[in-house]
Amino acid sequence: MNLTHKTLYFIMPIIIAPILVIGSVAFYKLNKLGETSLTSQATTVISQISDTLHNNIANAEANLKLLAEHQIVKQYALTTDASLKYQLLLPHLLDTFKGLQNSIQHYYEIRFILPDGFEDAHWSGNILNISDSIANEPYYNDLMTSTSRLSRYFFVDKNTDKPAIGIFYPISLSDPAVDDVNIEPVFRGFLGITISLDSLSQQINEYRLGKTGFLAISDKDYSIIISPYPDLNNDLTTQVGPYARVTQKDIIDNVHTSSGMATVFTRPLPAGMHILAILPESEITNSSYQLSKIIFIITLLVLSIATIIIYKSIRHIILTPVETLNTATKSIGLGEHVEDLDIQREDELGDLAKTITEMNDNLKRSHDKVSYIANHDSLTGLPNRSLFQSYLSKILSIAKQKDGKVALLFIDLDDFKNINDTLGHNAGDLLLCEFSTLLTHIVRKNIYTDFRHYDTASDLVARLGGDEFIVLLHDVEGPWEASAVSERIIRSLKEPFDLLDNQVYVGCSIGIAIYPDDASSPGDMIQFSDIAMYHAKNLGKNHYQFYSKQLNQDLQERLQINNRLRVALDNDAFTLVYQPKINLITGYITGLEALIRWTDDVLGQVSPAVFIPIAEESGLITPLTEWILSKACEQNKAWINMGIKVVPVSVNVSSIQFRRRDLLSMVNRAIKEHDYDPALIQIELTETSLLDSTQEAIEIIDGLSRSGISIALDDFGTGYSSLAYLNTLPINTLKIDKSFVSRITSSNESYPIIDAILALAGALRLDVVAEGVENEEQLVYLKKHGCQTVQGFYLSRPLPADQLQHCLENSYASLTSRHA
Amino acid sequence: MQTLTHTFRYLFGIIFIALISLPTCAQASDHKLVILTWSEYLSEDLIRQFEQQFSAELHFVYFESDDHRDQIINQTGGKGIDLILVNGTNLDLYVRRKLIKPVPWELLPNARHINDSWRDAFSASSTYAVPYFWGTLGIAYRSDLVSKPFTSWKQLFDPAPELHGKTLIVNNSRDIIGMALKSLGYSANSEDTKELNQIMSLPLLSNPALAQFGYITLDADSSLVKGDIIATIAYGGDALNVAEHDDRIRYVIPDEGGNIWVDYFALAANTNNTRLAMQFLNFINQPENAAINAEAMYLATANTGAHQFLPEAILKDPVIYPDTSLLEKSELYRPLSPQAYRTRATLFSRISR
Repeated sequence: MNLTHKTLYFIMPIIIAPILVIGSVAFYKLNKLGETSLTSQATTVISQISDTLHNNIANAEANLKLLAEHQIVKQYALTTDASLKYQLLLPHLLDTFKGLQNSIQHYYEIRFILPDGFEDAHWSGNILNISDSIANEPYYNDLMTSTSRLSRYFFVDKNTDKPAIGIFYPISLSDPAVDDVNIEPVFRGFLGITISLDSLSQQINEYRLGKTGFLAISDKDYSIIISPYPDLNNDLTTQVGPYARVTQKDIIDNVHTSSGMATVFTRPLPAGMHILAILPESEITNSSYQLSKIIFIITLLVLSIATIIIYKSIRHIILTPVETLNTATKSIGLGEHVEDLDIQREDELGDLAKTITEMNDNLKRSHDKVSYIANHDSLTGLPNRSLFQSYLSKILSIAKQKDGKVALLFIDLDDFKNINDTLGHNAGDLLLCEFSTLLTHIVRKNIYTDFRHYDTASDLVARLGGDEFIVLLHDVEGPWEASAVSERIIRSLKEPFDLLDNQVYVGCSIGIAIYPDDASSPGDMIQFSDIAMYHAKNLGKNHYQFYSKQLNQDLQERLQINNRLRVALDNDAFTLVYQPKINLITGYITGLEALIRWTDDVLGQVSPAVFIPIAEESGLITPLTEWILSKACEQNKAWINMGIKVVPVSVNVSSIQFRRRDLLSMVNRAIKEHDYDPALIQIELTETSLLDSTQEAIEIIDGLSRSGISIALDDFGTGYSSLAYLNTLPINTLKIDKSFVSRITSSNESYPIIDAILALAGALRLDVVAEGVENEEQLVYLKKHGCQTVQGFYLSRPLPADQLQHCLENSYASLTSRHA
Repeated sequence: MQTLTHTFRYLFGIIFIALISLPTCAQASDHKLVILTWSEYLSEDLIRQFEQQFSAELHFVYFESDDHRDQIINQTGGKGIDLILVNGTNLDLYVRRKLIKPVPWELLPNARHINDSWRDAFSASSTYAVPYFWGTLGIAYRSDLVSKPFTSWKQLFDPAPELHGKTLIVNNSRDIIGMALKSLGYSANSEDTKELNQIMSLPLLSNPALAQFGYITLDADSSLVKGDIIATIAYGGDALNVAEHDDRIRYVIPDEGGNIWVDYFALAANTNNTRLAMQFLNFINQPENAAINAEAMYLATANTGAHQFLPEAILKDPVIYPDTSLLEKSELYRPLSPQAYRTRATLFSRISR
């Protein structure tokens, strides 16, 4: 048995007992009241009817007396000459009667009756007078005995067949023209008014006491003359009549009628009539039965309503809160968060609810804190990768439902590593913070930064780690929106950051992937935007790049190549080939250009033109360059040791590698390792390597030169460098780019660029090497115009070391024999 | 209302007669004659001539209906009145009530010009009354507003729908009941209770909505001219008068015949101006004067001697002098038995309003 049922068992008796007592008392009192009310209603109505009728009769009598005083009436009564009377007076008398009837409608018959009962003058409107005489009427004899006073009789009018009351006033006159003054007035006849009882009959027929009680009118013998129930008339006549006559009481109890016991109330009416109110016992019984039924229903109703209200109240006050608290406590126990404990009360349960709520809130706060830490980057406060990923999944599923587009901007700061390295980690952290602030300001207003207000209508800025940031634009119209945001980001970076008193310009590269155009899964979205970012970075600083499939393919290839490069470096899968530089005058090999070759187990032969840029990007260029230097030194050293006369070998250093500034140490390391003569090594730099950081370049080149290493300027004439450095830098050799050489088609024509370069080199006392010589004409032209050294397929393709060894041993012979 | 109007009339009559009676007692009454008659029932020229010729004053008390005249007489007993205009029917009653006295015919030489048949028309007329005018009772109606010309009393008492509410009943029991009886084919003087009771079955009398009560006025504003009333029981002379305002008004004596009335002058029983009264009666019965009067009144004079002075227009007018056959079917109102009067009074009280 639970608390609810216990409460009900306890409450029910408390409610039922008083209501039953009240119900019983109410029944008793109301029943009494009902009986009294019926009785008083009966006596009141018969008294009223009695009074009204008495008044009517009294008025009629007064009117009758007035009429009797009217001149025409007197004249008529006195006139004995029938001819005179009827011809001259009767019309006027009838007019007078008619006038009275017009003003009082229920005086429906007015007449002058001669002593013999003849109705001499009779007015009854349209009611036809059946008989001219009242001599046969039951009241006639009585009337004739009362010629000195006013009489009234109740009778049923033969003309209308309806009950009526007749009032008769005797006219006694002496004729002044004939009679002596002393003679007694002679009785001339009666003036009569007949009063209709129609309205009384109607009232009797319609009026009811309660439902079955009714009224009736009896004559002086208590014979019922008007009653709504003609069948009852005999009952009443035989029952009430004798009793009333004997007792003279106006309330007669226990009258037996064919329809049961009744109480009869009586009042006298004019003309000896009586009005009766018949109130059957059953009426009182019925009404008390009805009453008890109503009280029973009300009691039942009150009982159920009270029970429901009290039960509801108890539920509301105790049970429901207890249940709520119980559920809440269980939930909290299970580690769920209870959203809102809706118990606002000033009692013990309220306190308990408050305590539980506080406990719940504390738990929630700790939980929130943990969640926050887990989901946010501690440095910038931005959502971290994990939150970003879940958010991204959510956003994408919504976009899928809505057919919307989502743009993912993958942002990577350029040169962040440099700043970290040069200005320290504090400056780096500061930069990340400022950049994140910048991003949140730039991105559209609805920005999501706090997972507690997790809202899929927000854009998101997140930090993935390091200098990688994400901007997620949900529900974009198209790529242009992402472009706009990207451009805003890039433009904002035109201003320098103020990092610990250092003004720093930072760029960024942005890769953009669009859902669903580019990718459909969160993973792909991140990866593809990363790829696009990577390509943007390749385009130089401050670029943004939309992802495309081509980008991905390229990237895959490059990644593979890069991976294989690492393997190749570990497995020593590279070889060096050497292209001889030939002195056109002596025919000797005066130098070698070491060129790297790579045959991969998987990829086969890979052109340096392909893998060198990849190695440059991935930084593998450094070990690769180191390897080339080392290998070239080692080979030459080996030849020296074999007693073979060696020539300087040149190694290409890319502008990327050159910019790394560890070139000098790297070269020195190789020389040292192989105990190698620095004069036998030449570094070939491209003209573009010198373009940017001139001061640094000068320092490196000076360092190299001081170590005894000669410098060649590769691809000369293709860059846009100032020629000034030729004066300032310790450059030994200019290499004419093969594009110029390939233009030579005839030895007899003039090629002014080559001429100019040769003239320039001559003037500056620099060696010149023409690259890419592929035919006789080119060779002849170059020789004719004073170019001492050439290299190219026409003379010798790059050769592996063992083949070259032979050439070195017989260099002159072999080469000359070829040109003989 | 009816009662009130009557009462008013009584009072008016009593006061008037009281006023004119007073001086009568004081001075010689030789030169003053009080005549109870209809209004406009005597030529103004004759009045002036008589007053000049006899240095007398003529005073007139006017009644509006026979009933009204009876009421005036009833209230005063006829005191102060010298000459009473009485219709033939009532003469008998007036004689019986001793309201009039016999005519000293020797004082009326011009009586020889009066048509004997009018002098003898009623039992009392030859002794008590001097015939004055006679005429007929018929139907006056608007010929343009009925679908069929009136030829029978039935058309009046059982009116066509177009006549409903536009038929006028005169407030006179002899006329109404008499003509109703004629419409049923009975005598206008019937005393048979059964015959009398039958008139209550006539629609015009049993249905109050069909009829209006009163008497048409004779001027241009008459309801008959305006068309509010289309048909009415009317005296021929009245019909001629009102027809002067509208020639669409016709007068007809229906095929059943109508009533012939005769008006008489009678000497009030109490007059002490018999001489002047007789001089007056003799004066108006001089044929030339009688002709002047008849022409002025546009009525048929009882004075046959006047005919020679009357224009053809009057003598040939079928309204004034109707066709003999119609006159033969028409009746004089004869005195009735008291019981018949009683029955008629009771019936009329039910008809009138």
